[in-house]
Amino acid sequence: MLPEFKQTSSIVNHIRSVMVVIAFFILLSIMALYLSSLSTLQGLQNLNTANNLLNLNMQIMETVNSVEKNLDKLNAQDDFSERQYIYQTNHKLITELMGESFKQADHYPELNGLLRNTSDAIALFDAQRKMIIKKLLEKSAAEGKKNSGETMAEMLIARQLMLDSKESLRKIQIYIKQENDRKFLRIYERRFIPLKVTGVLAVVFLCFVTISGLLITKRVSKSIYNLLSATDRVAEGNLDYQVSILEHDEIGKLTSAFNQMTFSLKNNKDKLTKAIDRTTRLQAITAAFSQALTPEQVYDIIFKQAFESLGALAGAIVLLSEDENNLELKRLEGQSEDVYLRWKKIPLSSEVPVSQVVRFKLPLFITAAELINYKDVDINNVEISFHSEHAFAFLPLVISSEAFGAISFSFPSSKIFDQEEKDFLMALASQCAQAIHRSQLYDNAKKAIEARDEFLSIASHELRTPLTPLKLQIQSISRQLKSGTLETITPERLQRMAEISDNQINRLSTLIDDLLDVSRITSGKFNFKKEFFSLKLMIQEVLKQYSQQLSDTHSVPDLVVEQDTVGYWDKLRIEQVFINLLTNASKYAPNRPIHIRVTNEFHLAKIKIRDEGRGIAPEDRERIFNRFERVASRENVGGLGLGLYISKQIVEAHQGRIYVEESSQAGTVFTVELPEEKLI
Amino acid sequence: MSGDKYVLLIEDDLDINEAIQSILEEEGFKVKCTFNGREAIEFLKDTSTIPSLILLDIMMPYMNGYEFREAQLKEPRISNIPTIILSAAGKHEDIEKLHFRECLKKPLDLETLIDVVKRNINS
Amino acid sequence: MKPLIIFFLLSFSPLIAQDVVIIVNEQNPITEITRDQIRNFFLKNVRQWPSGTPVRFFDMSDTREERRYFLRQYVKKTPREVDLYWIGQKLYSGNSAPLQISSDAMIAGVVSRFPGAIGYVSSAFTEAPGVKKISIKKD
Repeated sequence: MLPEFKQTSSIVNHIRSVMVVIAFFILLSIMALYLSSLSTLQGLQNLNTANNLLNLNMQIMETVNSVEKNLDKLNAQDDFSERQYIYQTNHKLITELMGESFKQADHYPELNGLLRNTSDAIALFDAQRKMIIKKLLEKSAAEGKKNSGETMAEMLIARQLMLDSKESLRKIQIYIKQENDRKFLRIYERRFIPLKVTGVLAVVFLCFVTISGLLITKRVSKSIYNLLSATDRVAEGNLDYQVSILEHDEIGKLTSAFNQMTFSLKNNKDKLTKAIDRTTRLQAITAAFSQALTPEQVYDIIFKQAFESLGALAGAIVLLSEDENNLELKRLEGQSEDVYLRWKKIPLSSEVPVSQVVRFKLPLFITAAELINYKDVDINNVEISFHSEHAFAFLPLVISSEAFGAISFSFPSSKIFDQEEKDFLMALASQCAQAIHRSQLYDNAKKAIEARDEFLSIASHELRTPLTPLKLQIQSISRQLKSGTLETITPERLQRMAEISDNQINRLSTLIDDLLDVSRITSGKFNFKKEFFSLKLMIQEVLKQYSQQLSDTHSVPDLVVEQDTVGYWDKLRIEQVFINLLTNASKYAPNRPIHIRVTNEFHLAKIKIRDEGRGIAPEDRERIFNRFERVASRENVGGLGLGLYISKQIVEAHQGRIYVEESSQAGTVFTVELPEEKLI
Repeated sequence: MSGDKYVLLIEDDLDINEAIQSILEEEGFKVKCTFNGREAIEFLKDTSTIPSLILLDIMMPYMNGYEFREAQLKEPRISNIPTIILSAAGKHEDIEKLHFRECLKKPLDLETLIDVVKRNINS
Repeated sequence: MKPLIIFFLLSFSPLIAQDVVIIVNEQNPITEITRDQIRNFFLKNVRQWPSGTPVRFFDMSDTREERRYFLRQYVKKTPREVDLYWIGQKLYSGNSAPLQISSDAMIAGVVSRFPGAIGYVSSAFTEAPGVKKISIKKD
């Protein structure tokens, strides 16, 4: 798997912090601009104030001048009241202007002294003026309009005071002008400061933005080109290529995701390739299977595939036996002969993997070590040590949800059964099951056809056999009739001819009955009409019925009923079995007694029929129950050899058994066993 | 009739055996009946006069018609005896191979049987 | 002794006719003054007495001979130079020329009214109320 990706840095955060820095810069620039212009603004404000003060000063100066003029004219004038009025008005004006000046001069602490001097001088002057006018008034009252020297001195003093105030005013003016010049100069000197500040900030700002932009771009573009080249490679089909992660940021994350994508793409591609490969193999197998007709051919294909494509070391196929109690080993590859013999027949109930697979219809994938979990597997066996390095696959062969066998493969223990492998094996098993099933059907059909052909040929032969003497007898008579020599035939000879003919007709009808029975058995239309009857009574009836026939062959029936059984069976069919055995005994061992014993052992009714003939060789004891088999003998009276076959089918349909018993005595013992069936 | 000439009949079915025997005897032929190949071979080994004609059934116990014929052909003394097949199955390859004189199909026709026996017994 | 005699000769002989006397307000504690002080007071270079009292200098009318003498003797400027000086002062420092008073009596009268007043009168001036003569201190 790929390493987990952890994002430790972020381009977005980088850009965000750059933006924050830019915003901070802009704010700083605005503040710097404001601060650098602030002193200029303040200077301008001061200039304005100074201007106002200058204006006020000029007005005061004018007023003082007019007062002075007024003072000069004071002598000539008689009417003081008007002068006084003018003084008062002017003084009032001066006082107001002075007040205004004080207010304005707040920013000029130096000016306050000068203003105070001015205002003191003006106050002194006003007091002097009042005193002069008072004295003048007194004088004019006393001495007419003549000015005395004293008054002159007072006037001089007033003039001196006036001079003082004007001096002060002028000083103020000069001061303000000087101050203005200085301030203006300062403003003028500093006029480029805001520009410089702005410029410097702009340069720093631009440098920062450019450098950080370049850094981020370089980093990002490097990662992106890295990723782009990777996409090119992947587009060319190189899925093994993994992009190296340069930065643990968003693009790094993207790259990691890309790697993940490539990885899973590769996995999927591998899976797809495997799947295609498997499908192709399965198709090939299916095609091969469709060519295979017999089970042997199917097994060949399975093992060829298993060994060549899957790398199996050994394999086996077991199929359920007909009685469905055992598993029969049909084919073993890659194992020795003694293993084959040991596992030739496996009881379905045994605790071995293969029977478990058939019982549960589920596949099993185990290792050699797990074999000890199955109690019927002999751990000390040579196979285990042989298998110790193996892994096993046991696959049920299932048709119509019925398991009819299993395949087992052993692989080297390194084999990994992943889901695909299991699926493939299951598919193989399924295909295999169908193929085996098909081949079995084919085999059965072929056997059925062969059996039918054989049956037909034997039937035609056997039917022709009784026809031959019959035809010969009839043609003989007709020939003699034609030649008119019929009279030469002796009555005995004629009698014999009739007997032979009758015999042949009986044989024919028996044969036809047997053939019908066989045909019923073969087509599965053997119907039973069950009823309760006593074996003893049934046998007695038959013996009575066949007494003539038995006496013909000089057979002496010897019936011993040890224990009678009343069973629920098809009476006519059981009778047929008994008659068949009885007539066989009389045919093959004529002139001898026939011993019949009826017993019941553990709810199993038994009829034993023993003749005293020459017996049947042990190797023939099973064969005689097959179709068209006869125990050959010169005394053979003919017949299709179907009697025992039909008997066997009847008895087995009653869940019973018919067999030839080993006997120390001479002759043959046929035993019929019937389970004592009560009402079902 | 021709002195010691006789027909050897090999047929396991008693009724057929009896019927052919009686018919051929009525026609004046001597007939020796045997019931299978083994019995016939034993008879032929022992007898001093070999039969002039053999009528051979195919399906028989112990030794069938083919086995008999093979054994017969190995024995020069009897290999030249004309042998006629009595078969229910009719002609087929095995019969061709074993150079039978004629093949009679069961059920036998009386006239044909007599005719064939007459023709071959004197050759 | 000889330099002293020369000094007397030099200082007294041509000035006998137009000599001036420096007067101050009688409240003023000083008794003598240097020529430099007088000059600085006149030109308004120094505006205060050592005691802190503001100086007010009263000039004599330029029509009088004593003024010319005073200017030459103490200020060391011609009347024209003084006029130009005051024009300049008016522009650069705001100071204006001291008030010119025609008669000695009037000068004395005005001086008597201001504590920090100083003025000069002709040597003929004897005595007036509120003022006192002060002598010139030798440098």
